[in-house]
Amino acid sequence: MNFEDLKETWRSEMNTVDHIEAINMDHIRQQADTLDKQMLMSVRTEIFACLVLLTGVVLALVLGPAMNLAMQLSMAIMAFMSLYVPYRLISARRISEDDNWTLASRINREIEKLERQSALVDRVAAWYLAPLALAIFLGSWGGHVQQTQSWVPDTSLLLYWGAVVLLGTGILFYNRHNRRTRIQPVLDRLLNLRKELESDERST
Amino acid sequence: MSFDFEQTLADNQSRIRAIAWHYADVGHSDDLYQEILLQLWRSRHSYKSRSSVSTWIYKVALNTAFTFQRKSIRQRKIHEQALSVSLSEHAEGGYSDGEILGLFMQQLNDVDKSVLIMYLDGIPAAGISETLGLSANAINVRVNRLKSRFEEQFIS
Repeated sequence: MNFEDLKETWRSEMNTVDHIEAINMDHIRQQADTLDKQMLMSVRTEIFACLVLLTGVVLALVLGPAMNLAMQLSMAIMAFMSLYVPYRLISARRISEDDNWTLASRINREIEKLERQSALVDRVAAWYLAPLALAIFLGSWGGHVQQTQSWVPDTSLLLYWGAVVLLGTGILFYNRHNRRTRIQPVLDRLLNLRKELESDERST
Repeated sequence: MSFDFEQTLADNQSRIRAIAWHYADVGHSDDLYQEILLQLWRSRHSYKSRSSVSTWIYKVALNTAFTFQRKSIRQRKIHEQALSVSLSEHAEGGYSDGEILGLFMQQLNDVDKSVLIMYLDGIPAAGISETLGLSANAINVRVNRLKSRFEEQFIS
């Protein structure tokens, strides 16, 4: 058997895998529709959540009881986050669309997308958890001061803050674990693939 | 749409199935096959009549296969161990042509494997070059390297 004989082997291999059921086009169309709907739904949910939060903040500021400085700061941070967080999430997913289906071009686009997602997860503490925790601290502390007229936090408030820190730490580690196990292996593989392609071009 | 998509899929079903079979992890070729069909449907408007249908199929199928979630590192190590055992068994003789092709492909990196598959499928160097985004010269170099490697391992 020589190298050219492999062509015949490949052809017969294709023929042996051919005894498969006919392609169900309706199923494919359904899958594509479901995927499109899921993507649209996820964007809509994010925008809806952001609008609900923003409306809540505005209503609390306009109709709610008078707030001290800490509570006002908390509301301002919440309002800012309700716009900034969806913006970060949506822009991390967006990549330049083109019709170039060459492997080199697709790999670069996929790498760009994954690197953005990876960076987003890496800095989740800075753009999401820290501002959220600050807003919660300020809001709850301001509320405590308003109720008790004391700036000194009591045990229940300290416990609440402790729970917030624990939850935030949990979210941080969960995100990093996801990046390590889901994003990084695919990214490494694509970087290797790009290296293989580039080394090939250099060698000619 | 300038071509009959359903007919194109039907005509290329065995090709897509074979690509999925060679790129998927053990037990996941059906998933990859379905994913390739889905991506072909979603990108059907990207088909341009100036390129051949099989080149377009390869572009979408290989891109999908490369970004499909692959096996864990542990599974890969087990797979590599099994492969080294198979190669030593080959040295003692007694493999079918299909098994030899399978063994040869398993030890190639993804780029080499895609070049080999397209070459064996009769896609010209220009078509492979269009699919991978490499120069035709680079493709010819790869094919020659693959030939030498195959001859070293399976003929001499």
